[in-house]
Amino acid sequence: MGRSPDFPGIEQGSLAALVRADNRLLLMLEHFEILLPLREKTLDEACRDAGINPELVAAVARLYIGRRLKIGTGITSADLPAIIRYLKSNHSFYLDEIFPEIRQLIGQLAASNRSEEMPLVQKFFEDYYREVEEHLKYENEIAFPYIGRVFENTTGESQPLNTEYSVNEYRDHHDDIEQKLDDLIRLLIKYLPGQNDQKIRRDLFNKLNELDYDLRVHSMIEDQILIPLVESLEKKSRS
Amino acid sequence: MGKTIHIAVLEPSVLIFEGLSGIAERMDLPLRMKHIGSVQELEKLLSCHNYELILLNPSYIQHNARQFHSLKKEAPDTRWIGISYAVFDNTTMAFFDEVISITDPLERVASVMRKTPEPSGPKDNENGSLLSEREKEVLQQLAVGLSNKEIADKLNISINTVITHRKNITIKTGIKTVSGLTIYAVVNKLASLDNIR
Repeated sequence: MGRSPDFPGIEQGSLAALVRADNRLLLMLEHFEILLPLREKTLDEACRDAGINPELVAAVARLYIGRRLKIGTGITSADLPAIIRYLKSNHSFYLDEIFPEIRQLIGQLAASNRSEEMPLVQKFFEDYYREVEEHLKYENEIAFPYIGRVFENTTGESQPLNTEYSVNEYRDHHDDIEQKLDDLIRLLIKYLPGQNDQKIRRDLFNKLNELDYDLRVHSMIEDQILIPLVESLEKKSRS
Repeated sequence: MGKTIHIAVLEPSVLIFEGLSGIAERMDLPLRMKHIGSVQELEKLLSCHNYELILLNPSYIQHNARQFHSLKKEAPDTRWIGISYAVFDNTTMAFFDEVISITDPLERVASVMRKTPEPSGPKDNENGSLLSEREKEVLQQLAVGLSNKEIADKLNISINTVITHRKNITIKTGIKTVSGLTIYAVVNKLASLDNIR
């Protein structure tokens, strides 16, 4: 677990050592377009190559391994485009990769398990999927473009801000898609009767957890890094 | 595993908050602590969330006594703990269920926080047989798609009773959404696919 006190220093150690200490960081690096092989690179070097502020990647890594943000994160409004790119990469991971995998596993489970509730489980998943899709669409079409405009204001290419909208609304929009996922995981591990399909269930459980974890960090990044940053810019541009 | 204890901290000092959350982290209890910056924010949160514990700086009470007393009345299961690092009058301090002082040893602070009542309901003995007969009836109706009002009419009970049963069903099963509960009902033979809308 990431909380172990002998975790290698995030900023100083090699990326390869970091990823070995917590395998979830591989996916995080991928979201930043830092890909395998990692060679002997430190986080600083990899970020320089990728043109990202290492402080941003270190901050996200901290959230990923269950630590709290460092005091004085060193993240500035110049990092906004990278944050948005990161979050969008999360979106493609959900839609193109993990959701199809989960759907396939639920399909396999339904094929091997003829019990009455399986069609309901499939429907439950599809409803949940649509909700997530809608939320991501909102981020892509409303929240992110708005943040883009706030950012352009800081670089001088000033455009009038839509005063009707503020990032606060985005915060409120963050709703409980987590609740449905939590129910699905609970039903799977506690209630749905098995029919010699333990391996499919285990795979499904792992995938759902992976998704759950990534979604949680995703919203932590929005709440703790992105929204405060945009709020401070809004204050400046409206004062 | 017990249910998560939710703690709100209304305290202007970041140092105090960080200290409290450091202690909380070392208590090995599932808890979530939220730092709150204003009375308005607390009010807003209390209107939609349950907090088992609220830690707050007594100076807020001094200026909003009436408001706090009505907040307290609305959340009878919440324990209100004062964080004292200055002297306040007795009327203000009487508001609190308990008071911790910044000179208290860690153990005492931890023990005050630990005394938090477990959120009601059984902890991990969640299973279908635990639902009472009435709860099973409510769940059956929920599964076929009836609203609270319709369930109340059908079972001849008040809407409030339906809501209480629903709350208890969720506490006992751990499942929060109606569609999730429907699946639970089918698994436990309380409903069948044929009569689900």
